[in-house]
Amino acid sequence: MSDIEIKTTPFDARFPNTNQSKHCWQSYSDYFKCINARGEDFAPCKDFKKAYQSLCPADWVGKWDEQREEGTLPFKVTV
Amino acid sequence: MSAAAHAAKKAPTMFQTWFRVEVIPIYAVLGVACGGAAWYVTRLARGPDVTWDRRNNPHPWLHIDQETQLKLMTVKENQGFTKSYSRDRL
Repeated sequence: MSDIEIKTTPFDARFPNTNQSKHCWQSYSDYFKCINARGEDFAPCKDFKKAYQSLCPADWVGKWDEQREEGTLPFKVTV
Repeated sequence: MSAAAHAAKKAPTMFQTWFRVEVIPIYAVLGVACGGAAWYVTRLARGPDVTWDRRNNPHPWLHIDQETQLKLMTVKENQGFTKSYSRDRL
């Protein structure tokens, strides 16, 4: 049990308060911008993915993923 | 003052009573409340959360260094905040 490393998203000074909704959205948006700009295997993009997976409610991620597939995402994820 | 009290049986108007000594506590409390509200609203408006200029500065929170303190006060000494935030553009 001692070799399981449990971590969460580190502190981000841009979002210091308890409400992390904007942090969630920013991470999701940044991950897909990173993917679109650098390709899916670019390792530093993984930090954004871990961040949005920790922070975002599953409903939001599901809704945005659906919108991405349909092309109706209300914000830009291309740079 | 007793002449006025005798002459007018109705309650005096605000115009006649605004400078009385006993009204000062109300002015003091109102001043603190309105001043405090105005200060806090301007503090929120100047924060990085608010987008005032959608074309030229749509995401102000992206331009903050990681050592910046945004909250009003901190309790722990060693959190590593070295800068305070000030909004330099709309």
